[in-house]
Amino acid sequence: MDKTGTLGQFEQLVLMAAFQLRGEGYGIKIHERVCELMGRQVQLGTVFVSLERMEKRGLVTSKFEEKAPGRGGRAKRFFNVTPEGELALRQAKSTAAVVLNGLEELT
Amino acid sequence: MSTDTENETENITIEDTPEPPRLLGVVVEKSLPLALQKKGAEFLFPSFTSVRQFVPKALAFIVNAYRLQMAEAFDKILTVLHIACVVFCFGEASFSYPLLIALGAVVLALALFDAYLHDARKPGAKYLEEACAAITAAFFLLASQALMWWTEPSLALSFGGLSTGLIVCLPMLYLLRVVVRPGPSEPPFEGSNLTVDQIYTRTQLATILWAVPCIGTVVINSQTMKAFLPEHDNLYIAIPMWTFMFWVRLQQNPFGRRRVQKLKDARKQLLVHWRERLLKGVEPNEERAWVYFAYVAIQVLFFFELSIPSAAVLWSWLSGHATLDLARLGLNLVTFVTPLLTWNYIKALNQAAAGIIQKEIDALVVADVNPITQ
Repeated sequence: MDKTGTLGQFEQLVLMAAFQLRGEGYGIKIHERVCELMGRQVQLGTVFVSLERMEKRGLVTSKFEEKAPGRGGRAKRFFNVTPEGELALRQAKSTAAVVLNGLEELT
Repeated sequence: MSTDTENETENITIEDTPEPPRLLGVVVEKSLPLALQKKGAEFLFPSFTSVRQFVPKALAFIVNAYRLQMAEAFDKILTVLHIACVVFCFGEASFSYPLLIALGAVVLALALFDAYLHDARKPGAKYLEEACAAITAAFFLLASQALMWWTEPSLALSFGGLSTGLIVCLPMLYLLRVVVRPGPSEPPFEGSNLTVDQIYTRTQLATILWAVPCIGTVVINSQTMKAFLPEHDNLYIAIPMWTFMFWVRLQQNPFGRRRVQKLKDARKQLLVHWRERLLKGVEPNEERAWVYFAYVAIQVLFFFELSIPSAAVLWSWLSGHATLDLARLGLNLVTFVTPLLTWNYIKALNQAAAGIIQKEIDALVVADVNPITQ
């Protein structure tokens, strides 16, 4: 089976947010970016679940960045888009282009 | 991603982030499914601004996390078996709302339990985990009944039905889960210094020790089942015995379905013969598909036949037609449950032995000239 599979619209946005943050995206940042992209508030848990699913499908990888000594807070988990994830985004882009072309007449 | 991006990630300076109060943080983190606790806390906690804003967000987050794990941990066969088990144990209520409520409580409890442990099960802890699953189911069931007694007593199971059903349901759920969910375990003979001959002898001995109680059970069952078909009680021995024999033979390369050659090297020939005699089950990728399906069907039938006396005694009690004969039930259950629980181990033992014998066959350097096809 194709590892990238078909991404849902929401998953495309989450993956795109992780891609745009280029390895600097951790939970809350990706969530903020997704909210920006969607133009409305999205539940944090939904973004978390999407990222977990995509990690299992090999579209993103994550790594815990240990906190520096003396710094408060907890270790952050940074997400990176894998080559399979980039491929899935490219497929989504070409599908979107086809849809856009097909709907040119629509006002 | 490119290497540049990875380097950038490593050089990031992380600013302090707000954290919920310690107690609240611990409660939320520990409420998440085990495999997602650290990841979930890392994701959720930085969004903390105030307790009032955080609590509903955390609840929604926990629900989402369980939704994800429940979908991934869902096992349809096990769920059907859970339902069958509850319907059997609380059958006194027949198909009514009290039964549906009990069913819902047990199925929900086990789904949540599986979601909680998904991706975080520990090797060697299977028996303990499944006991915890059964206890969780009992707790949810009792909680649902307490709620019903408090709010709408007509929707609760009768006290007698609940107590007798629970006594049977708890161990039955435990056994079902232990049998159907084989956990990770160390392969038999791993790191052993035994020779191939010793491995074969010990495997055969263990298999015989396993098969003898099976045959004994069939004989004992014929005595306990006399009341059902008094004039044909010989069938209680004949049918399960034939089922058992056919099931054993299917695992031993009958019908010459695997090509076995007669070899000039006597040692090699002996090893091939040993390999074929082992009770190693039938693989799903069997060349003739019907053999695998026949094997599975006959296996289910055989264990079903072994379970009939226990089920008959239990059903008489659960349906209120007879008092419980504990000694008889105990004997029936032991003779049914022991072969059932140990079969997976015996099969794994035989498969491991067959694998070791195969390695020995491959390692034999004596070339066979003019092999004669059987």
